[in-house]
Amino acid sequence: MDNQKIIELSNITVKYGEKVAISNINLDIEQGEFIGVIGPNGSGKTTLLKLILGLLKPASGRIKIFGKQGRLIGRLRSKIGYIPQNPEIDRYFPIKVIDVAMMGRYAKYGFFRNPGKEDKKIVIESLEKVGMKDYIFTPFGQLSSGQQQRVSVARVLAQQPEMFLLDEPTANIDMGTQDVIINLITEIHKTQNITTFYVAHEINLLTQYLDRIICLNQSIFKVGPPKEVLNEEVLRDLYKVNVTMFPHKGHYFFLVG
Amino acid sequence: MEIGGFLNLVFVQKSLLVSVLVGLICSLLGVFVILRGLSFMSVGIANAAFAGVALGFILGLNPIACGLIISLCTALLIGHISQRAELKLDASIGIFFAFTMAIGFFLMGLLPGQAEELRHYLFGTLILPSPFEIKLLISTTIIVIIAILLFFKEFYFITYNQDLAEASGLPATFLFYFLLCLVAVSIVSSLKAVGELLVTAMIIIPAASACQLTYNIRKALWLSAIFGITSSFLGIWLSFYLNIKKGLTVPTGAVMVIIATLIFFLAVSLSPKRGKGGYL
Repeated sequence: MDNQKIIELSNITVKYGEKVAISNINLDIEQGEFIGVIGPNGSGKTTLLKLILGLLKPASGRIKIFGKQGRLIGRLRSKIGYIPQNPEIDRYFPIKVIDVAMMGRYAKYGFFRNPGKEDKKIVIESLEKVGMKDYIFTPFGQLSSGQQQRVSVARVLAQQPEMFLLDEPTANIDMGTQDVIINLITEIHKTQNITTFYVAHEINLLTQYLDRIICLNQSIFKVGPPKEVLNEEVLRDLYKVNVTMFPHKGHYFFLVG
Repeated sequence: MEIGGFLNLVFVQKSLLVSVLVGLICSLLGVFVILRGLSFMSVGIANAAFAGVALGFILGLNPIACGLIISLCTALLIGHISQRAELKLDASIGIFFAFTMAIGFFLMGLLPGQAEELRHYLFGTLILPSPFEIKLLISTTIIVIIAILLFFKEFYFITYNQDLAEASGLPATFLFYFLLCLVAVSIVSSLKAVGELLVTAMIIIPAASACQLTYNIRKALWLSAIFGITSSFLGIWLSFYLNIKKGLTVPTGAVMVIIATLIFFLAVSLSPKRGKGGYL
C-alpha cells in the first residue's frame, strides 16, 4: 500500500486557554515520508507533535491518524516512537540505562505482564545501535546529555514503532552525537520506511534527507521539498533575521548574517 | 526489658503486627511517592484524613471510614489540580494542606470531650486499633502489595516521566490517580498507629534512605521496606518500653520517625551517590 495517508489534519486549531498555539493547519502525511519541522520558538512545533500523539485536543478541525478519526488514545500511541524535548531527570533517580530503554517496550503489553527475554534482546540490540551497549547498567542520571539522548533513541528503537516523532533530538549535544543520531534515524527511515517527523533548529544537518519541510509559525508558512521551499527570503521572513545561503556538496547551507 | 518476655504479651504481639504492616505499606508506596515528587501532596492527604476522622466523631459515624472517604476525595482533588497545573503545584497543595489541617483542628475544637481520643490520631498511640482498623490495615496491605506486583512497570514509568508514559500509550493519568488513592488508603490505615502529623514521614523517610543507596528500583523497594519495618517495629517496641516500663507518655509516631531519620542519616553517610564507592 504505497502512498497511504498516515496523518490527515484539516483546519486544525489548538489553543492553550485563550492563547492560540497553532491555527488552521491543513496537512496530509503519507506513509514513509521524512518530514522536517522548523520555526521560531513558540511557533507551535511541539504542539503539532503533541497533537499528532493525541496528547492535545484540537479546539477545532478534524484529525485522522493511522486512518482513525479523532484523537489517538491508548495502545495506538505505542505505534509512535516519541522523543520529547529536553527530558529533565533527577540525577539520583534510581534508573539504569537498560531500564530507560526497556520503557520503550512497556506499552507493547497490557497490564500484569513484564518484559521477557525477547524484550531484553531487542533492548540490548537497540542500545548497541546507538553505541551504548557498554553502559547498560550505568545509572541514567550519570550520563552526559548526549549519551542520555542516545539512550532515548534506543528507547524508541526498542519500541519498534510505525512512526517517529522527534522533538529536537539533537539539541544541546555535541557534533559527534548529532551525527550518530541523524545517521541512525535516516538509516532506519530508509530501510524500514518509517514515517518520521523531525523538529529541528539546526536545519543544515537535515535538509538533504528530508522529503518535505514544514516552516511553521502558528500556521503553516511554507511546506514542500527543502530545495523548493528553503531560500534566504523564506527563512528571513520566518525567523526575522538575515540569512545567507551557501552551496556545499550539492546541498544548500544557511547561515545567519 | 527482655525481648522474649515482651513478645509474649498478646496485645504487644498485635501492636507489633500493626507496626510491621504500617512500616511495610508506607515504605513501599513511599518509593513511588518520593520519586514522583508527591511528598508534599501526601501531607495534604494525611491532614484531610485527620479532618475526616474528626468529622466522623461529630457525625457519630465510624471515624476511620469517614477519614477514608475524605482523604480519598482530597487525593483525587489534589491530583486533579496537579494535572491541570493552572496554579503552581506547590502553592495549590500549600493551600490545601493548610485548609485541611485548619478544618481538622477546628472540628477538634468542637469536640472537647473527645480531644484525648482525637490526639491519638494526631500523634499515634499504642492503644490497640479496633478490629475494624486491623481488618482495614490487613486489607490495605494486601491491596498495596498486589497493586505493586501487578502495576510495577506502569508505576515505575509514571514516576520516571508521566508525560512520556502517557505519550507511550499507558493510561498514565489513571495510574497516577490510582497511586494517589493507594497512598490515601494507606495513610488512613496507618493513622492511629503513627498519627497524621507523622504518617507521611513514614512514607517519605524510609524510601528516601533506600534511594540513597541504590540505582536499582527493585532493590530500592526492598531496602525501603526493610527500613520502614525496622523503624516502626523498633518504634513500637521502644514506646512500650518508655511508656509502660518507665511510665512516660511518648507518642509512638514520634519514636518511629526518630528511628527512621537516624537510619536516613546513616544511609546518607554511607551513600555512594555522594561519595566514592559502588552502589548496591
